[in-house]
Amino acid sequence: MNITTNKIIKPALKCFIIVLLGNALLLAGCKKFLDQKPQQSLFVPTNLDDLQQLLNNARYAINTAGVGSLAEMIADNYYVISSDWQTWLQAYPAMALNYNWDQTALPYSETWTAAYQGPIYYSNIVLDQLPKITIKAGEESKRDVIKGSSLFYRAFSYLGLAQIYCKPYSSANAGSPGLILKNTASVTEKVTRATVQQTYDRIIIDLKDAAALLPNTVIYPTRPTKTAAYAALARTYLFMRDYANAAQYANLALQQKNDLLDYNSLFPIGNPPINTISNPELVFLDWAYDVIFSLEGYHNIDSTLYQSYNGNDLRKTVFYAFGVAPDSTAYSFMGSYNGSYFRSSIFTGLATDELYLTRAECSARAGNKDSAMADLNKLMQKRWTNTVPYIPFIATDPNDALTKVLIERRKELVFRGLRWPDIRRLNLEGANITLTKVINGTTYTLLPNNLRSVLLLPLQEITIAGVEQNPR
Amino acid sequence: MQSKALCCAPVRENRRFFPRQMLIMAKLTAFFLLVATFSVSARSFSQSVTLHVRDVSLEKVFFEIEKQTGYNFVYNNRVLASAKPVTIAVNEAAVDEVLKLVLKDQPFNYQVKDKTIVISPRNAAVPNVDAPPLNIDAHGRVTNEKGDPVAGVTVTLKGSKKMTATDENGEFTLKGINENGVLVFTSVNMETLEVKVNGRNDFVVALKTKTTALEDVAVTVNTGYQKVSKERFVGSFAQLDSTDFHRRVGMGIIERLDGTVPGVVFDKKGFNFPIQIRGINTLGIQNTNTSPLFIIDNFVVQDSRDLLNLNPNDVESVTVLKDAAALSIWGARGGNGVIVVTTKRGKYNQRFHLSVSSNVTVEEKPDLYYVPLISTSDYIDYEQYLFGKGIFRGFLSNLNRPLVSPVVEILSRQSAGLISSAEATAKINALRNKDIRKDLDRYFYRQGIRQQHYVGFDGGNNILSYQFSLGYNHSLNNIQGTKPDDVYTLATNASFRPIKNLEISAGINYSLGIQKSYTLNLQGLYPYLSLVDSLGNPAAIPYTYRQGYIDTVGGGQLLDWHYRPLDEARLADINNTTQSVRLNFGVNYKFTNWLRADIRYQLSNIIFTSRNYKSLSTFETRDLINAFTNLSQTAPYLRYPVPVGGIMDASSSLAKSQNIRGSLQFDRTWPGYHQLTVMAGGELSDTKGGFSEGQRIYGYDDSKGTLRNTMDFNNPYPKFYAVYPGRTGYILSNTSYKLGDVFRIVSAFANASYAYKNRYNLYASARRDGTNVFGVETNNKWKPIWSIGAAWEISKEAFYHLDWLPYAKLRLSHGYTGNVNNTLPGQFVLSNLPYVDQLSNLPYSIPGLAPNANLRWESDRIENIGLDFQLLKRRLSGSFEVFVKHSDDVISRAPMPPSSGVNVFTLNYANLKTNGYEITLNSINLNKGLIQWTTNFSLSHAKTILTKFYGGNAYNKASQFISYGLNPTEGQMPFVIAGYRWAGLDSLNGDPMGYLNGQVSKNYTNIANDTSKNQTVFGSALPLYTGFIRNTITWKGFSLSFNITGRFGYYYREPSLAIDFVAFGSPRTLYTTDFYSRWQKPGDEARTNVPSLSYPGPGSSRSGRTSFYQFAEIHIKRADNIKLQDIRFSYQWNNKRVKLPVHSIQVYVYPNNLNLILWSKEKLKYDPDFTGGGDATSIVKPVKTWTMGVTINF
Repeated sequence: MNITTNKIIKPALKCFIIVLLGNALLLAGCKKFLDQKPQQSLFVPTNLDDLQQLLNNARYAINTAGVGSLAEMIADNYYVISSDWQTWLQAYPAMALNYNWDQTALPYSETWTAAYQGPIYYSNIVLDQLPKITIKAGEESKRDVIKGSSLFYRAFSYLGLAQIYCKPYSSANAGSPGLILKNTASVTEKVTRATVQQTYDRIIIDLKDAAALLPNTVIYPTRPTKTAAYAALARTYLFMRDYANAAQYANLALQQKNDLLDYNSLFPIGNPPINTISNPELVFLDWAYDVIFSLEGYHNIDSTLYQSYNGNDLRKTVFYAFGVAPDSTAYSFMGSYNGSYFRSSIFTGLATDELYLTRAECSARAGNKDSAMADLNKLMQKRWTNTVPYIPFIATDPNDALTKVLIERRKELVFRGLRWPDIRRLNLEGANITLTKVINGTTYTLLPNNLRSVLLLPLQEITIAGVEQNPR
Repeated sequence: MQSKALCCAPVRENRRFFPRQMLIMAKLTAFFLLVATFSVSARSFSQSVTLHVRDVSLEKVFFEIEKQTGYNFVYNNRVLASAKPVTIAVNEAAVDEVLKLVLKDQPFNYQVKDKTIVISPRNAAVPNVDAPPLNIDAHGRVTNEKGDPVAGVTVTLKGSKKMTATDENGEFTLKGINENGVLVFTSVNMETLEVKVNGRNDFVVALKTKTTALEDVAVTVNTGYQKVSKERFVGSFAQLDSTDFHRRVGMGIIERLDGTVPGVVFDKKGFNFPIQIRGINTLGIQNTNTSPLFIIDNFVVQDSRDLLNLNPNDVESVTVLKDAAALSIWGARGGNGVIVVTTKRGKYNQRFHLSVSSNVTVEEKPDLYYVPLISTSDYIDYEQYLFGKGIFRGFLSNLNRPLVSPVVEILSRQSAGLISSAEATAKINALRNKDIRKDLDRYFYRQGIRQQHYVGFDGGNNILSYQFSLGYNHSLNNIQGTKPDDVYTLATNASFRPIKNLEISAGINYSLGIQKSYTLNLQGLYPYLSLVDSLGNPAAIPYTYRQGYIDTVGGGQLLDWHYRPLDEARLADINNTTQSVRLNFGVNYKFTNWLRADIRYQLSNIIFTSRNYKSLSTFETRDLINAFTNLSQTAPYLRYPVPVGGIMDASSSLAKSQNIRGSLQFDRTWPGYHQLTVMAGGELSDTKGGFSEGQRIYGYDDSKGTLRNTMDFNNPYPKFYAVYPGRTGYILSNTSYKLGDVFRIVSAFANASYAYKNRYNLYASARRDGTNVFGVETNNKWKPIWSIGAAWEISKEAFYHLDWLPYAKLRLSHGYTGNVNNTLPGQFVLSNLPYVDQLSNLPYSIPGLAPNANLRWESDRIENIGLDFQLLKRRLSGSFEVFVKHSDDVISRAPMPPSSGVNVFTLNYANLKTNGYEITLNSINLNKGLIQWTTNFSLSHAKTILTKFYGGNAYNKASQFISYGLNPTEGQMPFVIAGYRWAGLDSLNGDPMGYLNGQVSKNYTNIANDTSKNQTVFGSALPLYTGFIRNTITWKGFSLSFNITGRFGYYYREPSLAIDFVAFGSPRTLYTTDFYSRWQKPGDEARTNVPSLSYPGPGSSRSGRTSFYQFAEIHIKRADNIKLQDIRFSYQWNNKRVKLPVHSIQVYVYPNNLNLILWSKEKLKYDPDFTGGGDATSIVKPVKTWTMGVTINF
């Protein structure tokens, strides 16, 4: 108490006397009195812990990079009933009209904003501040982890955004407008849109740098590991349809971590069915926290999708529940890898099941049907009920293997934000997936590679930053 | 007011009661007893005296004789100092006889003339008129008829150029005067008086207030730094003096300025510019202060509770400072104007004065019929229609189990075959003649009652002045069954002059507020609900949960899950205590007559503790326990994660502020020509606010003090009433701890005032402030602020001969003031959050505001010209002022693209310009015999234009200009209001239509996003002109006054019906009678503007349709109005004859907040000053109050 009193009184008295004596000496004398910070919670970051503390903001900023909920809304895993859509239209017109790819839909800004103001901004702050911080001896590895994490978070966000706001990667689209690549935290920096090629280049460079800096294991699943960087690279190359590199990084990741969760162990079905932290498949925890996707609210599972699961496929029971969807005939999705955390969001992070499917797909594409089937069976065995003997998937040729892998990919990676990039990617290869939605009896259609499969940037980016808008 | 003849040559000081040694307040007790004794023995006057005293002072004997006989003694204090104690015993003796006896052994002579007894020294030489006059120094004090000191009185030695003026204590010194001379006392407001010196050097002079002068002419202006006589003040101000301030009654202090002072506009719609002095000076961005700076006596109010807790009865006057010359002394914080509250003080040499007052205010019940609603039966019909259309199907099947109305519940049971159609109809028909408003009126609301009681006394002698008061306020709000709020206040201050040139003053203001009231807004429920059941017991109403669900859930194993509003009010057990202490200490030392040093210190401390006990009977507690009850568990901690018991929310907070100010004051008069006043000093202020801690205790039993301390806040527990069986949630720990914010300011200031020949006044002021802005270099924390001003009393010039204008004074000022915001960071900062991340359980931070190292304070430049005048033999006085104000570097927010990482960037960008004028007139219309009629009139104009705004208006959408509030765009008024252009209703389906690109359109979204220029921009939503006229008529002791206010030149949006179906999802919708006039068939568009409502179809889906209609131009009306605001009727009885200790008694009635619209430019449905939103739910009816009270002065 005495110490604090002295801290105030001494400079105060000194300052008071100086002020009384006249203005001439004012500035120097009152410096100490006026250097008191106005808000006790504010501080200028001076050490690595301060920066780590910023990156700890997992729930509200860093680990919500996934743009998955918007990607799910425009994809075909679920639908909303007409009356709910009407409600959307009243409350969130931009969201409602993007749902059915309306030509006149205004940009839905929340997703873009959350990524740029969350992980990208935070990571850039940390990357800006790191060189200004004096690193004590022995802190080098801590610094590397912080730097690697920041690079990872930023790249992972760019990867998600590129699936929504840029054309899918191809040699033809390489020069088309990509993302705004923010490489500093300066808010007044003049920005432009990079190309698609530059966007993916940046993602790969950052992820590779991150992989070199990140540790093999972490205490918190919200923090990235080397495995996570490899898994993100595998996903990136897959989206770029660079299947050789995708296979290589999926392989690197699986060398580090190849555990799978036996769905038989989930019975009797708990609530939630899958626990997040104890899930052995978890590589990196990220979720789409957005007003769009509310599990309690609106979604109804497409019946074709639900019917596509075999009766012995445990995913049919673990993932879906009846009697809770607004459409009384439809099922709801229950099996998020987010588990008990934030049920109103979906898991958009990285897990080993995706890695197995990626490696299997790449093997099939490379003509190696047996390794493709080996990976697929390793996964599917954990998904099949143990009350009947497991009958392995067999492929007649690489093409058959690819078809089988893609079918299971569709059924395994539901509500991961991955269906939408897969549709775009596969449509470039002639899959010819046409999407439809029915509202009040009217059917709305999105043809493959349509301009409307690249969403509009928020208006403020156009009006204030002056960047190029996506064409309609 | 007091017509008692004034003694023109009072030679005696008013210090009868005070032996010189009696200096400390403690002895006041004895003094009261003495007063009481004398009072009891008081009889009517007689010519005889009965006296039995031993060894008492001569003074006391004189006093006793005076009391018994009505004779007045006249004597010089110094003469009486040589008196010996007196012992005397007489019964019914003649005055003359008694005097002889008393003065027998005393060195005095006496002389009786009329009823005055003059005591003179026995050996005093008879003045020799031929002897050469001696030069003596005269000291004295000038008072008014009430005994209060009068400052600014000119004292001249007749026939010479020697002159001086009285100071704020009414005291003067005039050196080297002729002992046979005559002193002339002159003042604008007082009658001139001549007093012969007669060799005396100690004067007490009572002047009579000029009957033609108006009583409310301010004599001094308190700037919070200085008290300046009005004659010498060059700045612009407005004042509620004691009479005007206490004319209004009630709890509020600042509210009394509403409609009573020129240049001040109150925004009653609750936007964050509540009090505007001469327009808008800031945009209030990022918590930049929008409110005027409040001062109590000398120091800035750092915590608004200091002002809230001040007893209005302790207030002497309120002054509003308006121009640069008045404001610049407050430096970087005066930009929004300054309001100085001056509290009552004891005065030296003033008789003891005791005042007791009491009043009761009745606040009317809420008027539930102010908004015309459709009948219950029609509401039910419409619900049935919608049910038939299937609109509730989604609600009823939704596993969220959203709340549905009782009628829908009945219909759904019918359609499910659970009840017969006849049964359903009977049940529904039983509801048709209900009206929830009847129940609310009868069982829920009541009249609010507030009582105010006050006792205070003050007085003083030569060396001590004191003031002491106690206040007690007791309020009952307008909800039946809730507990009262009490406020106790104590105020005391004393000044003490132990040696000649030293004055020490100290004061304590203490208040204790205990809030126990509970407020609950129940308006807007389903119209057919009942608040009591058939037995008269509190009834449950649908609330939060679907009734059918909570009736059956848990199979009777849960606590009752119903919500009964009448119970909630009764069960509320809130105890919020605010203790506020303000301590003042000051030392003033006079080195010479013209140089003084002054140091003042103030400590203000506020402790707030809150205790909110929610017993097991309250809905909140039952709800929480039920939600977490796990019936499949048997272990009590698992079955009831929230224990079955009460919940206690306890919190406390602390705010502390310290100020110290030192100054040197030079004040010298060279009689006749020059007068120079210079003040220079410095001030330091350190405020810590907002420290708080809070805790929630579960399983608490208030009668035993027991609690459960093994709560698990870290793990999720399954919850009842969830969409998915067993959905989990966390139990709220509600423990909080927040460090306070620190605001520091260092200031150096100086001002100088020079007067020449009492007619030319020059004033200059400068100040520099420094604050602890975060991360900004100290050099940039300082800002110099200055002003200059001049005043010229033209009517004093020799060449001035306008008899019709006997007084004219011209004032000019120019200068700066500022507005500071120290919460904006100049460098990159992080902000710690007081929580942990939910996933990792680690503490985390967020980035602070985007830093801007170039942030400066907002700067206000003000030019002011004023003319003060008196006309018609001084029966009409007034002033006229014109001003221009430039607010530059106003803190703005630039919208940023999301990719920047932030939404906004804070910078000094905007400029505002305000023009305006103020006219004030005070007149005595009639002053004949017993009748007096006076009028006070004022008209003010202030118009602010945003001259520069970030991005101009390039990005401004029409939808941003439709709400009441700050709608900034370049070239417009900040509170501009616009409406969508209206093209009528679509003749096919009754859709509202507007314009887009010049074409009739129903693309509501695009219309909302269109620029406001293509829609209709009306004008200001704030009155540009405000005024009042107050008439006071007195006859004998009766007085009637009423205040009529006018607000002109503005617009308001009349709320209208939200005509869509989203409203039916949420039940608390007001269906106004507009519903009846809605479009129903083609052709209706000719008679109505209310759009159609049908399902499916128009009104059921189109996004933006409702808001387009509600914010269309058809609802915007001119709000100009004239209102009767209040009436005060009082009777005052002045004690002139009866020998009672009572001086006066006043009784009054005071209806206030009448808001009776006498005239309006357009027909108004609702009061435009209280209502301004779009939706009917925003309609507020102002609440009238009725006060009765009595004030007794002893």
